[in-house]
Amino acid sequence: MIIMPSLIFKRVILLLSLILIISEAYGQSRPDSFTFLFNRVQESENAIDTLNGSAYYFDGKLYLHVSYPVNQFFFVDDRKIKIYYPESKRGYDIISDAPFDLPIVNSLIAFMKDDYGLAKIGFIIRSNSVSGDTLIAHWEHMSGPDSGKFEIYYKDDIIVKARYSAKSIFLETVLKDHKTFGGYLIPTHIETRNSSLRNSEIESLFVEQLSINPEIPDSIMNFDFPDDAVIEKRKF
Amino acid sequence: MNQTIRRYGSIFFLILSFSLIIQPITVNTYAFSNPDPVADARLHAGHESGGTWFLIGCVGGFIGYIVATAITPNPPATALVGKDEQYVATFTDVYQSEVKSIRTRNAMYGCLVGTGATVLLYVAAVAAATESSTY
Repeated sequence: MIIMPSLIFKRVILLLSLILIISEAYGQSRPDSFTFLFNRVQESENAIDTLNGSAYYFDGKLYLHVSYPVNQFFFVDDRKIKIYYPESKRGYDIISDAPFDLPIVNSLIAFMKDDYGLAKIGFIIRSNSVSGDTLIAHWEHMSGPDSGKFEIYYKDDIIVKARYSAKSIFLETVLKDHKTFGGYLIPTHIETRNSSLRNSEIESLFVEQLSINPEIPDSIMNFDFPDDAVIEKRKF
Repeated sequence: MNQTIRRYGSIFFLILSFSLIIQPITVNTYAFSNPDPVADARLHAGHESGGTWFLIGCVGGFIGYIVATAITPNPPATALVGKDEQYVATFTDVYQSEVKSIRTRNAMYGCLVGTGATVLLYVAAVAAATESSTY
């Protein structure tokens, strides 16, 4: 088999790009905070569900103001969640011994890390390949392939797709419609297909009016319940 | 034993990575129109790794079981976004109860298996020592 020198050159360039991307993963400046309006649509065979609101991510904390289907304030700060319903002036103050996950912003936070946040949870890059103008990095956990595999797709140095496959789980997240916000190229449509359950399901997250490193209002940064609110404390 | 640990370690990791990266994306898919908090909480609780707690019970014995009963499971925040007050209350109660049940049950099984294995080894060791001392 004869391999064209230009093809070899192209692959070498792409591989060097990948090495550069990964090596810069921990040194490059990343947005510390961002805000955006979101519209999340979930589709299954039988139903469509919509969630609208605004999101503020800062200092590892998340503040969501859900406007539909309920009016809800949702504040996540490491091991604490504050949920408040302004109409009824009732809410929950949830405290745990372990950190909570960050809804809505997960994929965006992963996207903003060049390795999709995989190294932090013990994944290491095993190999890479090229398909057209797309570079594909193949990741495995250090404990072995039984723990699932990730494929991260890079096009023009940005992540356009992430695939996870394990024994009975297959997930594909496509990051598309990238737009420049504050000098950063950010996907404004994140589509996740999940075939790990019986029915195939699709989640689409649409991002609008994204603002990078914005001024966060003090009322959001230090969110607290109103004095006249009826709050139920829950400890986990 | 090493194989068993590796196997359970692998299962544990699968669940862990699922919860860290994938679960936050997928869990909301349970909550479609007219969500049922009890059914949703049970589905979420189904992701809990019983194998890990079996191993903890097996290795830690009664202490492992105590740990399983003492640690209160964390509800997934993703499941609570955009849900009304009643849903949040019911979901967190059922989720906590279901996960705790899975953990304590598996830790107890692990504790019993671990204790049984220890007793068998002890009996075998005593028998071997007795046999060698008679010669």
